Order: sequence, then structure tokens, then C-alpha cells
Amino acid sequence: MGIELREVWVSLHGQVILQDISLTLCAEGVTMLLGRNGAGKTTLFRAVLGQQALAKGQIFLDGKPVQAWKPKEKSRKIAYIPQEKEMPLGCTAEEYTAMGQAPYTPFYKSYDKEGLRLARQILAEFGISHVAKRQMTQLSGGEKKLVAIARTRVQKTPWMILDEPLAALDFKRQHEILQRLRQESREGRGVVLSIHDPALAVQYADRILLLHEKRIVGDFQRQKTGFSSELEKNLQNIYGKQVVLWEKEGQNLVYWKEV
Amino acid sequence: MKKKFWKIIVVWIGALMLSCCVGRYHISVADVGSILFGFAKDNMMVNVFCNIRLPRTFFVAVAGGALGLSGFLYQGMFQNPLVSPDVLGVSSGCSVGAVSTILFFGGNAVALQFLSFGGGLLVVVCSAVLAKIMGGRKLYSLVLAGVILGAFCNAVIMLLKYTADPERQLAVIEYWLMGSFHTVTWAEVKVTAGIILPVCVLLFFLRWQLKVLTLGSEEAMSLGVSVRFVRMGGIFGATVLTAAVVSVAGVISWVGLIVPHMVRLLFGERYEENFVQSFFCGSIFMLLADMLARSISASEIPVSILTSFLGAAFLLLFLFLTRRERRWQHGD
Repeated sequence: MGIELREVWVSLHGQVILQDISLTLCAEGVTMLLGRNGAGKTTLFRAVLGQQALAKGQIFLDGKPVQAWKPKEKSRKIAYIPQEKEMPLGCTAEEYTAMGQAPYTPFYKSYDKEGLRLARQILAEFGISHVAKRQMTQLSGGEKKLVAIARTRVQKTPWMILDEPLAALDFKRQHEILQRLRQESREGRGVVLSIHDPALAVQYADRILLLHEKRIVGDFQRQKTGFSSELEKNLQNIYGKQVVLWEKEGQNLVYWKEV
Repeated sequence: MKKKFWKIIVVWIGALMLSCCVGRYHISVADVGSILFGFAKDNMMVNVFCNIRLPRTFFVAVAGGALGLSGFLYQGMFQNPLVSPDVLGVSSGCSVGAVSTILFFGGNAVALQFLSFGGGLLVVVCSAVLAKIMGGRKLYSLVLAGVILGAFCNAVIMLLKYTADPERQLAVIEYWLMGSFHTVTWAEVKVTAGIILPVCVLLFFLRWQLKVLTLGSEEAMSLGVSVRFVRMGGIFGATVLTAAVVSVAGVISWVGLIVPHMVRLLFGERYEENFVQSFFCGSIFMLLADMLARSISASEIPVSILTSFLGAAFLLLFLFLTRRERRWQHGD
């Protein structure tokens, strides 16, 4: 059970974007997808969500082809936070959070009083109850991301996929978001996200996938031996020889060394 | 919510009453009461009220509500507060149908309503098909297709006007294009309300799905919304509302664009509440514009002249207020 990709190929406008991707994701820990701009991270996520047609191969969610899932059923399994989030007109943070209840409500309602109560409770747990009554358009980037994660909590999905959730966030907010995601994974949810900073990936990820030239070129699990040395070699292949992965007492640090 | 709602209802009822009274033939509020309770003895007054004022007031109220709601839905679906129901070319399509009827069928009222309504829907369907063929980002393609077909329809209208008889037909065409409610009868009210009210009810039940859609397609899909169905349902519903009004009253500018802004400014931003408020505020705005149109000069003036003036003035006020608020927030 989990998400399984079998020999997946994706083409857009006649151009191959993803080539022969095979991997299995289990609903545990934090998995981070690293890759340069235009590597196909968003396309891979869209394919997993069934929002992107495949040229070849198949994707299974809990053993059933992802395209065969009904939209509501699928939305009870995977929550998704896209990279470019459109800000809804006329929606407060607590209402937006409560919309996570939509997969469980009939079509003429997207949340009820219980949903709103749950939303307020989760926003308080996240330490951002002060934004509950504010319009989504008035929140800062970090607050928006936290509210979006709170929304996925209301959605009660075993999976959450986040496309570059740290984009345009300051240093502190980046760590706050990643700590929150790690907490979510400890509470039994599978967290998959794309990220650009290898330093943050080695600090927080339980598993790192490297996407380069349309393929998954590396799959590294933290608990396996040789994690650091293998990862460093692969990071250098993607980003250049300047990338150094330094390891001491179980802690990893990635930095850029001028040659 | 409830308090605000009842306030709007009170103002709306007031506007309806006033609309029944205002006009060349003076009818007081007391007269309206006496007619409604069957005490009126002046047959002329009863006739004016029952066969002219009442159908017109009812139509204007429904038409304004439909245009306000349609604008609100379009702005939400396209995630753009500058979008109006015209964005997919519905009014231009209606106009081609109406102008063709005036030229080739002598302006027959039934044919005009039918062809105009059909023309509006046809252009929006063509916009959707063209957007599908163009591919790319769906909403942008749809807007682009609407702009292209709108321009095409405007070219057709100009061509038809060029061939029209300047003595008999051109003036009728021009007057129709400026919008007016002076020809409204009970027959038109029945047909138009029969279309508009059921569509409003369907859209009312769809409003939560439409609200989720304002989060963007990808996120809405991940929340289990059938994006294609809801978006097409919303666009089709909003288009039918606009086409039903324009096919009877002609082109009425600015209402769909301005009313949703007015609602957000007056009552704050809350999608599901703004949905209902847009209908009633659109209705009130239209009733006031129509009352002005038939009372500020000796002869009735086309209503689009007034909605354009009022719309431009309101947009200016809106920009002024929002900029001042932003400056205040930034402490400038």
C-alpha cells in the first residue's frame, strides 16, 4: 500500500518531461524531492495526483490506479498544496482551513460548524489563532503556508504533498514550516515535498529523491549506511563539484565551497 | 449575516415600492396600497400600475439581480476583480442576434428575444470550444477566446449597422444597443423570470463548490471538487443570466462589474454572503438607475447611459477609498 509509480513517462507539447520513473512512497516520514529549476518536480506531483496525463506507465494509490479514484475519494487520501497558491476572494483563514472538510460534505456545502471549530482549534495548535478572522489575501507568505498545512490537517488525509512550500519564506519561517511538517509525519502522515535547498533537505528529510534530467537519479534513506557519501556524490553531479556535505556526530550540513 | 441581510431586504422592498411610484403618471405609496388591496377606483391608475409599472419593476429587479450575481460569479471563477459578464462575449453575441432580427425580421419581439438569447449562448460556447483548441492555461485561453469572439461580433454588428436603413432601422439598433426597459411586458417578465430564477436557485446550491474553486483548479481538485463540471456549470449559469437580461433589455453596461465591488466595500468579503448580496444589490442598483432613466428628463433616456455614469463614478470612489485604506495601513 502507498503510492507506487511504475515506469512513468510524461510528455508536454511533444517534449518528454519525465522519463521512466519507478518508485514507491510509503505513508511515513518526510520525503523530499530535490532537483534544479525545470527538473519536472511539479509535473511529477501533478501526475501522482492524477492531474497530469501519462504518456506511458501507471501510478497506483493504495493498489488502485490513481485515475480510477473518484475525486472525493482521492481527496480523502492525498492533500495537496500547490506552489503558486491563488488567494481566494472573500475567505478568512479559518474558513479556508475549514474547507479541508470539503471531501466529507455534500456538494451544496464545503464545511459546517464542526469544520469551523476544528479549523480554529488547529490554527490555535499551530500558534496562529490571531489570523483566524483575517482575509487570506492579508496574510504574510509564512502565515499562508501554515494555514494551508492546517487545512490539510482538517482534510485528515494520510498523505500530504507540498510543491515548494518554502519558496519566498524567510530563514525562521522555513524552519518553522519544516518542523511543523516533521511533526505531521510523526503523527502518522506521509509528507512529500519539493525543495531547492539541499542543506534543509539533509537536516529534515527521512528520504531524499533526486530528480535530474527527467529521471530519478538518486533515492537516499537516512537510516541506510553510506547516506552522506552517496548523497554528496549525487548532489555534486547535479549542482557541481562545489557542493560539500559535512557530517559530524550524526548531523549533516551542506554548503557551497568556492573552488 | 442575518442583520445585514434583512437591511438589504428592507432597502430592496423600498426600492421596489419607489419604482412602482416614479414615472410620468404619478402614483403615490398610498395609491399602491389601495391598488394592492383592491380599493382603487381610478381605472387608468390601476391599468398603469398593473400593466406598465409592475411588470417593469419586476423585470428590472430580476434583471439587476441577475447581472450583479453574474458579475460576482465571473469575478470569482476568473480570479479577477476586473472581469465582467461580458468577458466571454455574451453581450456581443446577444447584440448580433438582436441587430440581425431588427434588420431581417422587422424587429419581431419574440424572434428578437430568442435570437438574441441564442446568439449570446452560442458565442460563449464558441469561446469555450476555441479555448479548448488553443490549449494552454485554461482560464487565460478562455478569456482570450472571449476577447477574439467579442471583437468578431462587434465587427459583425458594425457591418450590419452599415447595411441598415438609416431612416428606419439604424436608430432602432442604436437605441437597443444602449439598453432600455420601456418595452417590457408581462410576457417578457414570465419568460425571463422563468429562466433567471431557476438558474439562480441552481447556482445558489453550487455556491460552496464555486467558493472552493476560487482557491484555484489544482487545490480545488485536491479537495474533491469536480473542477470542469463546477466551472462549466458556473460559467453557463452566469452566461444564461446575462443573456436572458440582454435579450430583452439590450446591452446594460457596468452593472456586473461594479455591483460585486460595491457589495465587498459595503459588507466586507465573504463569498457565500456576497453571493446573495450581489443579487439584491444588483437589483437595487438597477431599480435606482431605471427610476432615474425615466424621470430625469422629459423623455426616457437609455439606461446604459446612467449605469455607465454611475459605474465610472463608483469605480473612481472605490479606487480612492481602497488607496486611502492602503496608505493608512502602510502608515504613509
